[in-house]
Parts: sequence; structure tokens; C-alpha cells
Amino acid sequence: MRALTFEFRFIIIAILGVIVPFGAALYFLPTQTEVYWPWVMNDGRSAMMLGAGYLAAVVYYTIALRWNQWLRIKNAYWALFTFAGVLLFATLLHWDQFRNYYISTLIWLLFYYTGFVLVPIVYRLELLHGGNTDDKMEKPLIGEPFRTWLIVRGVFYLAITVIGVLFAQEVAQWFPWSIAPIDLQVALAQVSSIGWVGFMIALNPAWKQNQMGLIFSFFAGVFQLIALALGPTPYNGGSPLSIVLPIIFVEWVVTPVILFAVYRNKES
Amino acid sequence: MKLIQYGVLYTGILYIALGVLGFLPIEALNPLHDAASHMRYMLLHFAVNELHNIVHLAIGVTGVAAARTPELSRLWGKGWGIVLVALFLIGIVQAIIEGLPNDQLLLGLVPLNSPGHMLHLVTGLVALYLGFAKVPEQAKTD
Repeated sequence: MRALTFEFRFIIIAILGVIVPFGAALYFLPTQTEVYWPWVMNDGRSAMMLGAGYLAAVVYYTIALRWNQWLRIKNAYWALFTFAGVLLFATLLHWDQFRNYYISTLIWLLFYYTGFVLVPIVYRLELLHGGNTDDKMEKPLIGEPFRTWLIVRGVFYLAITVIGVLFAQEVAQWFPWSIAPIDLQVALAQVSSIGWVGFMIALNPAWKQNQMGLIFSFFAGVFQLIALALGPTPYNGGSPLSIVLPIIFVEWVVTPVILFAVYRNKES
Repeated sequence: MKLIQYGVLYTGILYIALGVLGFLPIEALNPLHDAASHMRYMLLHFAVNELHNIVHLAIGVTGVAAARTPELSRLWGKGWGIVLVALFLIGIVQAIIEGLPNDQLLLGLVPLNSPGHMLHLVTGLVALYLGFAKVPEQAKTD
């Protein structure tokens, strides 16, 4: 199976160089965003929610480097584009909240402009290196009813992303803590990535090519559940989303666990 | 189409889109910030005026034209890559000298801000890669 190109490995290492400190700071120092983050977050729970996504991405890219196989990354690859797109959209809408020339602001801009510019070019580069052999679907394929479930959840999370991004002001009021629209929109970028996994399974149900997306889902769910349990501010159990959020994050964990249990032993 | 051509075409189309968007006098999209210098915040974000938009269009149109051949694409990458990275460096130095203002007027003509600087850096580096890097010429079919 073909290894990743030097360019893509270089980009992954650069991504890790950014998301490791971003994720660690947000997750472990959630009440000090005025020190290190491009904008000040009012509630530490929002910082942990964003940090959980970055930490899950750290696990994802570390495994991607270790496996070093384009075939395993290909399906989840375009999630980078949707992720960068959602964050860029949030940045455009809330630019007035960013601290100008703050080092983290410059890194943020560099990071997400780069994502938007480089993702299509690197994809093309990988295809040129890989030829046509990578397009073959390797068995086992994810069968029914799992495939249907993954597609349904993918559509659901993509729909949540669109609704949350467009109506962030309204959705924020249903949250169990005080979340700013910019924090919500940025957090939804990771939801869009999980939605993308379902979309790609509809196109290509090969188990090997969908593992990476499920690994991201699992770790994002684990980090989010820990954040819900240990968040630094009160959790309003009476808010409309107070039950929904834990259910969603448990689903992020349980679905990958079931699929790995079923398909891991079927790998050739 | 070879990778270099694809990359130059894609970057060129992005710049044409930015150039065209910048000309749209829609307040919700590109609010007017400074009437004296005709400065707008394109997409609520990038400080631009007519001259800046024309430069974006020039980068984009030459990119789309250069994408016809690998040789022209390489030349485009080298040329605009050097210009864009130089613009980033000059812009950042000027911003530091002026005390990191929200907006600045490069050479007294072109409005710029930190999103513009970072866009120049990113696209400049991508252009330099396309201009100088050794990349595969065509897809393998085995």
C-alpha cells in the first residue's frame, strides 16, 4: 500500500506543530484564553469543547503519520477542507473579536488560509503519486445496517453544522453554559468532520478507508465527555441541549467501538 | 493537466474570485471602512481598495493564462511567489514600524491588514513551491 508523499507528511507535521499547543492550552488551561487565544472566551467550557476537537485531531494525525498510508486517509482527507471552510467562515463573521497581530491570531490565519489553498493541491499530488490502484475498494466493505447508520449520522451532523453555523446566536441560547456564537461556530467545525465521515462512506464503504474518520470520532467523543464532566463552570441541566450533548458525544464513542469490534478481525 | 498547472490554475481562480468580490459595493459583504482611501473590508475581513482588487485580478488572470503550459506555470509560480512573499515582508515591517495598526496603507496606495499579510504569505509560499519544487509530471497508471 502506497506511503504518503513527503509534502503531505510535512504538512501533517506542521499541523501537529500547531494543534498540539492549541489543543493542550484550550483543554488544560480553559480559563486563561485571554493569554494565548486569538479571542477571549467567556466560559472555560467553550475552550474545552474546542480543545477536545484539537486533541482528537492530534491523535488522528499521529496515527496517520504512523500508518503512513494514503489509502487509509483518503476518505477523511476532504474533511480538512470542510473543517477549514467552517473556521474561515467563523473568522470572517467575527473578525472584530480577533486580537490583531496576536501571535495566535497570525497562526490561526496562516493555518486556515493554508488549509483552504493547499488541500485541493495536495490531494492532486497524492493522486499523481498513487495512480489508479488506490481507487480499488479493498474488502471488507462496511455492510448493512452499519452503512445506513453511518450515512444517517453523517447527514445529521452535517445538518447540525449548517444550522448551528447559520443560527449560532439562537442555538447558543439553548446551551448548558454561556457560549458565544464564534465559539459555537468554531466547535461545529469538528462536527462537520464527523458528518463528512458518513458522506464518504456513502461513496466508498471500504472498511480500511473509513477507519481514520471513526478514530477521530471516538477520540473527539472521549475528550468531549471528559470536558463535560470536568468543565470549570456550572453545567445548566435545565437547558434544552443539556441532555442532547452527552448523548451525541456518547454516540461519537460507541459507533466506532462497535464497528471496530465487528470489522477489525475481518481485515485481511 | 500536470500538478503545477493545476495548482496555478486553482490559485489563479481563487485570486480572480477575491478580485471580483472586492469590487462588489455590497455593505453587508464588503463594508466601506475609509471613504478617503476607498477602503473596504472585503468579506468583512481583508482591507482592500480598487487598486488592491486590480492587483488580485492581475495575479488571478495571469495564473489562469499561465496554467496552459507547465513552463508558464513554473514562471508564474516563481514570479508571483517572490512578489507575494516580498509584499508580506514589506507589509509586516511597515506594520511594525507603524505600531501594528489595524489597517495600513502600503506605499500610501494599497490598504492592508493582518489577514492580507497572511494571505500573501500563504499564497506566496504555495506559488514558490509550484515554481521551484520537483513534483510528479503525470499520473502513474500501473
